[in-house]
Amino acid sequence: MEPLALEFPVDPLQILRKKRGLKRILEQRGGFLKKRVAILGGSTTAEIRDILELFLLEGGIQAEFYECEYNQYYQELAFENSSLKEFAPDVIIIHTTVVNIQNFPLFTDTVDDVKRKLDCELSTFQNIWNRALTVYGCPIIQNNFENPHLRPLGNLDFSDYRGKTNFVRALNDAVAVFARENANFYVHDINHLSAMVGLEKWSNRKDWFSYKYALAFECIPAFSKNLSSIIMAIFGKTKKAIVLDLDNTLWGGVIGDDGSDQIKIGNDTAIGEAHWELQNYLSQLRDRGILLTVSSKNDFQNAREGFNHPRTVLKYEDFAAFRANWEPKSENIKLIAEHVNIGIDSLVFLDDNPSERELVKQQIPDVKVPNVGSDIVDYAAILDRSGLFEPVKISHEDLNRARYYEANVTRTELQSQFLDYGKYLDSLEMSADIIRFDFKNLERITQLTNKTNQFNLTTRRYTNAEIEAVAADPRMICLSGQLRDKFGDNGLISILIGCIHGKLIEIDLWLMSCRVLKRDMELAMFDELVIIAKNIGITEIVGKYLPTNKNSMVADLYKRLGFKKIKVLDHGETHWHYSIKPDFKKLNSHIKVNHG
Amino acid sequence: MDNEFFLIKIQSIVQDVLDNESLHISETTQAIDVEGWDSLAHINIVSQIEREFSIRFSLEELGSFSTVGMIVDALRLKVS
Repeated sequence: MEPLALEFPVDPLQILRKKRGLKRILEQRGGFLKKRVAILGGSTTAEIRDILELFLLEGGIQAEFYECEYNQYYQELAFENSSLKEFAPDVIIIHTTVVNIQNFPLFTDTVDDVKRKLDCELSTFQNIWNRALTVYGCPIIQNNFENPHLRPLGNLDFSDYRGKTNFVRALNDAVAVFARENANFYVHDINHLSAMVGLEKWSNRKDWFSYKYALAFECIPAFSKNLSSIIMAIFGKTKKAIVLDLDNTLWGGVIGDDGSDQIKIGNDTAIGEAHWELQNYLSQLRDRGILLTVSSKNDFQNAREGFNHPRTVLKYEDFAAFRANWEPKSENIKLIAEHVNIGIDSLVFLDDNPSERELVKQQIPDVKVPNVGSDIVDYAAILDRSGLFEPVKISHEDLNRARYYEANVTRTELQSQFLDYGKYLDSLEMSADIIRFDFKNLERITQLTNKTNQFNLTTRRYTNAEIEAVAADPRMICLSGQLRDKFGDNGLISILIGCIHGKLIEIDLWLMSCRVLKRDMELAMFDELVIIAKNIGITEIVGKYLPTNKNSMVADLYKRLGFKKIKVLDHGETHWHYSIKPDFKKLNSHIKVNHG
Repeated sequence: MDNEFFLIKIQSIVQDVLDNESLHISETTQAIDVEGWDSLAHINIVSQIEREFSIRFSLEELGSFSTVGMIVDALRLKVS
């Protein structure tokens, strides 16, 4: 049985009721990423932990939990804590809510009194946040605050400086500021979530008085789901692309039957406006780095024609891949994944037709297929609340990703004009910056270590704090590569981390974005490593290939570079060795390299 | 609706929550006698019963349930 109960939109009571059975079934899947999750609560967290565990399992993460005693979040973080230190969390969740605010304003307070109370409340939190960030060096997830459910000042509670609602808003603003200033600090927006659920339902006082749950028992699945989205995003499980159906999904009607002037898109009709809203939402996803692609059962010309409609938001050029034909969608989806060079499990499939959804689910279980129902009015909201595209940060690369892929289409066209691949590479007029990690790129570097699966020799994941430590350590070689060509800048796309041991460098991490495969960038990176090694008197390089089900493309990378295989382990792990010759000749001849 | 009717519904909820399809309960069953029926499961079971019958137990009732029979009694009063 598939754990359908976990599919969005979730049925909270079914999840709570069947959680033990669901856990048993989910754990059979295997292949999990293992993470240690500490939950430090200002109210009861037991059920939150259990349901979070399910959503993480569903997303491919098996969590080991650390939970503090009731309402000990402050003590756990403010003081020496050997048990938490020993647990070595990969992520810390601070579960506080409006019940944990100690110093709400009184009606007799002056403006200055309220300001002092706000500072006091904030410094208490900032103290534990700063300590957590430095002592544990892992991502911290902090709830913001939901609005108080009782308002002794009525509507005035919002605007008067003594209002509780006003006070909560000021606190939340400060939480947001702290998050902007600390890369490893993430806000779980329960202010939004409680509004979405309804504060009346959320603030179930019976569950507070009886069991000390700060939110309604029934809301725990929505809470844990939303929380799991952040954790999955931190550990690189966010989806990267969406495959879209056209007829009755991106527009109303069937273009092959109705004609391009009769499809419903735009505000002339209610249905047309609903499709317009979906297109507009997708367009915003695209603008922040999610790839849009099409798989439609249509003649290509008909399908393309739909994007010439005067009211369409999306244009044909907005799609990184466009497949309109009569082949099964599962086949098209596989080709799309190949074409845009991302793993099939990074794809989401959106279609109004339940039988197409079912087919794709069965044929390619790794593709996420949200159950959007059959009413266009819900599609954008279901996508939005699914958390599938949850970003942790918006990087420069995210904002330009769609452009890179557009340029890739032009490159492919150019390639077909050359018989000699080397001449094609030369015609791209490539230049690369290969430099030691630069402070301003550290977030992008962390992001790449967590997202890159295919060209990745060890698939080691790093947190922001770990990357910062690597960059600051003189014993570490840490190279980042950025590649440009005549069609544009591909951004920072390759990373190599090595550790110096005497006369030897051990490569801990080497990865490259699939956006720039087959451009000889890996040769340029290796040349750079050898040159640096020679300059500091290093004579040997060793590296490992740790196989996953995604990185077979680099299984023989070391062999191609001239390494000798020195060890083969049972599960396919291989160890390699390279002696640097005094007359080393560079391998790359197509990319002009600028050093730091 | 007789006690048996409520008992069957409650049993089905307890079976799901405890993930034990062969579990059998009676009016004299106490949480402490059933493996896995801890305080966390108890909150879940009571919430599921409330939802199943669209009723709400009062804080006083919640604190008084020591056997399944007592839940059935409270339920019968509210539903009928």
